[in-house]
Amino acid sequence: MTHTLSMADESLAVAMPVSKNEGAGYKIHGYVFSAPAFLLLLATVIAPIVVVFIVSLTNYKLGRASLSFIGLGNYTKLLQDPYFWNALKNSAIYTAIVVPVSVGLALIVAALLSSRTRSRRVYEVIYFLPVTSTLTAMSIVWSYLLNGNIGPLATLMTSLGMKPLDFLADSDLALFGLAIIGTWHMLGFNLILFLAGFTTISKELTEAAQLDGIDSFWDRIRYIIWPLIAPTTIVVVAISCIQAFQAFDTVAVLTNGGPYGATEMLLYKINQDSFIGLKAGYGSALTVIYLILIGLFSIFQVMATNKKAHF
Amino acid sequence: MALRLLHHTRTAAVHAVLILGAGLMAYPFIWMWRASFQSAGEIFGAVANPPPIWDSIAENYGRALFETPLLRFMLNGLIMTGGILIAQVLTTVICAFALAKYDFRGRKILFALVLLSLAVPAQATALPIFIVLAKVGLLDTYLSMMVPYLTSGFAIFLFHQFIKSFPDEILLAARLDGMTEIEIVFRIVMPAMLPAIAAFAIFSITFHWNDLYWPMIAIRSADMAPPTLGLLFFRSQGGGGDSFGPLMACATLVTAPLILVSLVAQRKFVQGVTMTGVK
Repeated sequence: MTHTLSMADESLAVAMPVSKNEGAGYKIHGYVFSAPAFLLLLATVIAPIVVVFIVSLTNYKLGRASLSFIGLGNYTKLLQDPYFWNALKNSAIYTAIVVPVSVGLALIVAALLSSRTRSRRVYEVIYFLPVTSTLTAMSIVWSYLLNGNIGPLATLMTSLGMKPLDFLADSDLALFGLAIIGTWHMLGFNLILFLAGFTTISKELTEAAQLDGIDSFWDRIRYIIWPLIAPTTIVVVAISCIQAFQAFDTVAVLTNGGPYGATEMLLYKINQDSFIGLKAGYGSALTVIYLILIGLFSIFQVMATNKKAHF
Repeated sequence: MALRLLHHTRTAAVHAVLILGAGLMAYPFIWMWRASFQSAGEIFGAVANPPPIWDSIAENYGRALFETPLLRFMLNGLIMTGGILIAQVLTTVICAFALAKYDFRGRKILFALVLLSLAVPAQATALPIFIVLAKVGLLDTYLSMMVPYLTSGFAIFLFHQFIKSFPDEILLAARLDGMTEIEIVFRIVMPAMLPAIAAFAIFSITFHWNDLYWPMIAIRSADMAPPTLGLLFFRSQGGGGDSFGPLMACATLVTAPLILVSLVAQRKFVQGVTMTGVK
């Protein structure tokens, strides 16, 4: 789950006190009431970000007393580091699988579900289960489900006469294994976002379309649902990209980036370099890249949300 | 007649697809629950004489609860999520009130800061906070688990939207009655915004109960571990087939609180977890 931006510019415009005259007499209260949150935001969000930028320009190692500024040294090193490119590539591949699949499937399920009335709640609860569950615990469960020797998948494949795939131990498959879990984990969240978007599609519209001969499921998606749901989809895609780039739990629990770096993704590499390798300077440079990427997705999301608001 | 048949066939087909999907989504849970009800040998293959199911349940859950520090992990998780939530609500409600109802210099800068903080993922601030906590010797404490999350830009943003529409006349009347400003916030405004607070609470509790990233950095000893980290400790100790049933019992118990809440308060839960990003 991420804190994601929405309606930023609109809120800035309306961030005015309801009654100016009334509020003006309470200047001191204003400062006192906002001070705790303001100071905490400063200390736990703003200052750390500034520190990360500064540390990324040094060769600081955790536990060392001294450090020296090396300019953009960490960044040039990063560009030549094959492990960085590997992590970025893995994050990109993971995102390229998880986002289209989880968004696409969620859209289809939402389309099927939006016309259900009585059974809808039950389906919603079940599809939403993975979102609320503790991913660390469920990853342990998945490690058995995807295991090539003992798991139910292996049993199924053997009984079909196939050679069982060992998803998490095979370096060609491990990233797909994590992507399967990631898709399972995110689908319900996207589904709920889509169902909220579907409420804008009125029953009259679908009935009118039916009278006009737009009857098949795919035609309905193509001509009615898609044009109305496209703005929501862009927002869902942006949120999903942010979540996919933040994938960490499954890597830490299941593969530790292996086999042979096949599942080392960006956030996991940041964690390893900073806290295990103790290379604070280099880890901070990686963090800056990570911040920029997430920031770009956030801007994309805000733009999409605002466009949706005007739609 | 034919048309009606077609309609029924179509409905049946839709349900078939939905049920297949629901089955896939629920399968890991069902498998976990089933494994926690079985003896060690049964789970991965047929055993000639499986022990009665109640014996297996007692064995697995008994060992999970009393031979592992699971209860301790859950208590740690409760203290962590509870402490974070209380701090967040206290700091954000008054701040949102100030932003919405008072006019003071710097208000716009503060609001911009709040919006900016929404785009910063929690992991990006971990290293500097870790360094400071290490310097002052606070690592491996409850406080260190909560420090990065004592306030929430997201909550300020959300509550600000809510308080803005709270009628000024009521505030005025309360002031005429001699209430102090802090009393107005906690005795008049806060009760009115309980639905918003509840939705945020669900979001916050879910996020922090499930969080692995920060506890992995801040916590070193098993005594202090929240459930997520505790599960990893437990797994790295055991691992053999013998402890598999208890491990699945642990996983069941760790995931149970949030699943139960999501079943009981489904609407609220969906609202709370998805309020990021939708309006």
